Amino acid sequence: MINDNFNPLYFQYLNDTTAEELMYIQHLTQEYSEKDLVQFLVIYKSKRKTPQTILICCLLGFVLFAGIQRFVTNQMGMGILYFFTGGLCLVGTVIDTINHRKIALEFNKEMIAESIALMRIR
Amino acid sequence: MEIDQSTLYENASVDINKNDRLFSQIHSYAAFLWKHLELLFWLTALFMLACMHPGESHFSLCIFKWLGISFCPGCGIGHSIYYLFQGNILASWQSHPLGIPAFVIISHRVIRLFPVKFFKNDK
Repeated sequence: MINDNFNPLYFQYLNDTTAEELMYIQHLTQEYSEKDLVQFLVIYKSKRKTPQTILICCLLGFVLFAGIQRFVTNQMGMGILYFFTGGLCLVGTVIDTINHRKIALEFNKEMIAESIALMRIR
Repeated sequence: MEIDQSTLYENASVDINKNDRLFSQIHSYAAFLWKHLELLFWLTALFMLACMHPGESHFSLCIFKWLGISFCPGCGIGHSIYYLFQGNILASWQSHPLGIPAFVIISHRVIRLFPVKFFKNDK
């Protein structure tokens, strides 16, 4: 069944979601029963990263060492590059701080796809 | 004498539409820029690094240098990538050893970030 509003289960299981995430989930889990949806949300909740987490990781790049936000979103090559060049002389860290929501969304989309793949295996 | 009301209002609405269209055009450019911010940043960075040859009076893109911090772990990456574009791999390695992996990793990221609909065939 296709709902116009967001399922309240989304807000029960996920915190600090963005609209793009919710629309993506809604689009991909349209035909899920409630039991399947809860299963999916539990799996996805453990995998996702909120934009706030990514922002804090970016800001750590100014204080500590750079690249944490890339390691957290499973981009090992970029993370190592940032680590050894001080965030590409801090310019990369600045751009990532500006762009942190897009990085989080990109990663969360991958995690949604992974969660759905896990649902199929079950 | 009858003033043609319809053409009066028609001209007025065309002016308003022109301003709206200009604003929405600027807005769509800004939206495109924001949507592909990281991709455009990497492409601009690679392009600038390919063009800026290491001369004496050379404007530094390094924020560490702007802040006055003398230690910069990324020093020489710019020159390194420039030499790579020229095909001079030895100078690239001497300038900064991570120049070649940096170029590979950044180009991989650019390919990942490229908008997918570029390659879709609408049938």
